Amino acid sequence: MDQFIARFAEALETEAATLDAGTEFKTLADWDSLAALSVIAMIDEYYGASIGGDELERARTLDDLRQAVVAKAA
Amino acid sequence: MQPLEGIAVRGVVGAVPTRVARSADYTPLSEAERVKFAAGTGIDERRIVSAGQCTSDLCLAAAEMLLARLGWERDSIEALVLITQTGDHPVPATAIVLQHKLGLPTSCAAFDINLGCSSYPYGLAVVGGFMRSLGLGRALLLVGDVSSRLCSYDDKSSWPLFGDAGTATALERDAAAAPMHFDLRSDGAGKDAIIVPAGGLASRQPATADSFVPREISAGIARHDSHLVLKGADIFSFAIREVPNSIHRCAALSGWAPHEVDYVVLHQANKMINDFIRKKTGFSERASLSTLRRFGNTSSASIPLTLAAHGQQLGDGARLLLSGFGVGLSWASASMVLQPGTVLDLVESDDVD
Repeated sequence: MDQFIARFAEALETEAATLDAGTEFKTLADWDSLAALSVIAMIDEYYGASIGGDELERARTLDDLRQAVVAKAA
Repeated sequence: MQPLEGIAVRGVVGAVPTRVARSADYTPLSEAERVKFAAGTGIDERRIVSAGQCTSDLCLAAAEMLLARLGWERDSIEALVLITQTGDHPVPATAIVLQHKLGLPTSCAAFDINLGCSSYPYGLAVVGGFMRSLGLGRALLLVGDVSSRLCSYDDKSSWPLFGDAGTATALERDAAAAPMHFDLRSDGAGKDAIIVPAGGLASRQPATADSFVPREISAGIARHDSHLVLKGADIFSFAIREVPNSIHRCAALSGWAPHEVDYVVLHQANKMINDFIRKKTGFSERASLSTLRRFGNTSSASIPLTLAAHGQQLGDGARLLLSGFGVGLSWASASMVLQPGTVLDLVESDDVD
């Protein structure tokens, strides 16, 4: 999880220390449509998984998102 | 797919209106958001038609300049194909209207194709294959859209991205022309990713008075059902998944390694998408041509407009890989070698014919 959070933080150009598994990422000040593209790119690059708008919509916390990625990558 | 042999591209001209819309002036976004938008998308400004100017007007201006520069007799043109999603009327096909406006003979075959961002590789394949199979000597491929007329100004997810443009490409039979290779794909499961839901009378969702009532979808996104819907995250996800593979397949068919390609010209979607695809396919920034900064996402016209805008840079014999992707979902790649003396130029026009 720590590695996923670090990569998520890098995609958003924010501090990983401010995030944890329970962070509701779409409420972050840095979250916008371009941030969503960065996160989709990060997930493609590191996990080889293709995450679309619906999966982003359904995920509330970073842990939800990580689980969606694990399910996709499997 | 088999290579297309014996067809040469003689020229590509792009036409844009003079009216400029700047990202910095788009007030539905805050000033900080506008700066971030321009940096992320790579779009500083776009050209937008004024009321009344249609796709056919821009394509007409491009075709007139192209024919004048090539010195082609109108009677020598045997086919005219227009690819657009913003034709002048639901019926008839706009290519037929343009056959008359361009003064082409009635012996000229003319028809429209409905495709968006993947238009150009598809168009080269369809028109080139048509010429080969029916023995036609010369043809015009017109590609353009006036997407600004489909987008809600109050929809930050679409309005600030799109610019308007029309283009004309001249093709000629030439036994000595280098072969073109193609990879043409489609996936209708993604039809909702970019869609104009309502309109016309014969459509799945016929236009009613309600089709023109704007609704707030979410913060900064208000539109009605006859406006374009663009699901950016879905398009991005699709593009980075499928387009690199398409480019690799097309390069392999051509027998080219990435370093043997002089320029890759992607559909001008936005900088984030294009940079990601470019890096994933191993092309340098220098080898990637772009018109995003000046013209934004010009839909179907983006690849030919980008070729036309780089006439000074593209030399004879340049090996080009073109790849378009988007609405449909539809994606396509083409490889071609620039013939000696190919006309590449831009024209500005606000003419309404």
